[in-house]
Amino acid sequence: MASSSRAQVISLYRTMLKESQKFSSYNYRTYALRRVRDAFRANGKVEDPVTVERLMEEGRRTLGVIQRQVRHTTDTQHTETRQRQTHTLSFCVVLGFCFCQTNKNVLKSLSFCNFSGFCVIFVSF
Amino acid sequence: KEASFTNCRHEILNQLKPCDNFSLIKKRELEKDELRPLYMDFQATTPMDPRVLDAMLPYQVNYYGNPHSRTHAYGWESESAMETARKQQVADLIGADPREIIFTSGATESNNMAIKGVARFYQAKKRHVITTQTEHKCVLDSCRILESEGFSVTYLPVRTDGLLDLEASIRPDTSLVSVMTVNNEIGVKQPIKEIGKICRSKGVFFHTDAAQAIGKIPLNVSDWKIDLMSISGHKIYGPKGVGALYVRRRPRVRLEPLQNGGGQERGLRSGTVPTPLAVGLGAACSIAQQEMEYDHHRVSMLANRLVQKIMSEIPDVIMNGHPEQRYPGCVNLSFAYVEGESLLMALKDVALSSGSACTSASLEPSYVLRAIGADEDLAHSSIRFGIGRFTTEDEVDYTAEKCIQQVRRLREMSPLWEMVQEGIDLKSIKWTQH
Repeated sequence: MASSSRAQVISLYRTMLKESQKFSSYNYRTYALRRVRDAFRANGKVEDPVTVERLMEEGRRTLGVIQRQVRHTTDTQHTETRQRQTHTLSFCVVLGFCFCQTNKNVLKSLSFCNFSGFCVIFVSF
Repeated sequence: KEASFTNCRHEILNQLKPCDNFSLIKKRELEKDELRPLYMDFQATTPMDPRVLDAMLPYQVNYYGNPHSRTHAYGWESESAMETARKQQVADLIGADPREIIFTSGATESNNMAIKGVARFYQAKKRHVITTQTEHKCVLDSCRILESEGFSVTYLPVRTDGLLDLEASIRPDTSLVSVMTVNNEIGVKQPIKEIGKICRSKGVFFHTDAAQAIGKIPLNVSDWKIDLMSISGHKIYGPKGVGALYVRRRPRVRLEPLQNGGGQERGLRSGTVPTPLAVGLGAACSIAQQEMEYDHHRVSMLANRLVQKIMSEIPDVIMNGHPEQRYPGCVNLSFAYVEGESLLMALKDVALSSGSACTSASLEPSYVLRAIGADEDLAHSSIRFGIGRFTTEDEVDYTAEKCIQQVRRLREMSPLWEMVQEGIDLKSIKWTQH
């Protein structure tokens, strides 16, 4: 089995930090961010591919725990406003991305992005 | 910053006039996440680690069988989870055999079982029990019950730094010695290894209440010659309502069971073992084992930061308990010329305690502080800061600053402080009655 590349490790690190940011409890959020950062730093020098693979497996499992617990420990009062915010944001990003990719003309794509952005904000209200 | 939210809360609460709706408004505000105080009371209880909750949930929802049902898959899967918790997790943390671990409802039940169980089993020949004056209330109360049954109990005094001398008090008819590993109020670590050696050499059973120590300092029941040990779930980031008792098999320790019934847990503690709680305790123990070094390093760093900050800014602050032989996460400071309750009220947006949670309802100063020989007035003005896995540097800095600010403010108002500043020795004053 091919060992994980540097890019995969960094991608896992970024995903874990992004998911940890979503904890609604201050203490859990700060702990998850700090622990993930310190764990990746401490294991940064590991060379042996078997150990790297094992650590990556552990990381993926912890990522699953973080994702599930973020859902379970979210305060229900705050869920509505947050969901709307993330939906709007992700929609904008996705649309912007799509338009940038398909249109070669940068100016044209920028105007499309603005237009879609305004549309989306309008729609969500 | 989170701290600014709690300042907002102060302003809001100050503007409200006391009325019937006040308690409702306060409760609603406390339910909103932003306006809750900083939690600095890790000795009272600890929040559950998200990894522990993750391990417990399937057993609350899907795998709900009774682990003692032998005839179907629901029972088998629950039993297997319970046995994994017992073997790979709890037993592994303390270096024991899985058959020596008994799940209970908490450290209080474990302490009761150990003390009353051992004393009553051997009561024909042995009628003496030794304990210390700084033990947890459940141990002291169990000993009091034994006294009423006709046993004789020696409550050993402790030195001012919290450590004690044992050898002289052991008699030929002593059955049990009970000394807690880490004190919950002052954080002092007893020399368990030495005590274990003395007890083994004299043929006396040694029980230790390790609720505050387990998962935080490395423990091994064989190296330290411990015969009975109490474990609490909610002190190591696990669920509340579960604990364990370690009962040695070689040489065998016999107990008279407190709770009789279907013979579960080797007949020593009958009753269905709550699988999700046992799984939670197991997960908490295995996480504690992995994280012990990281947590210890971090907690020591934060505790030093807190103590250095406070002690460098204000004079006349005393740390209760031995400075070296301690668990760093439990810091008990006495602020001279300041009343403890008023300081706690002033530090409203930090959750602290003076003395242990089980004695906080009474008005007397903590018996532990009295036992270590602290002055009556210093015992009244002591605050316990608890630091744990989830504490951040910002929280510690905020607590230190708030504490310094409030102590200064309270001292300004204190006539005793004025007199001390003028150079009057308070002990030489003859107070007159009016």
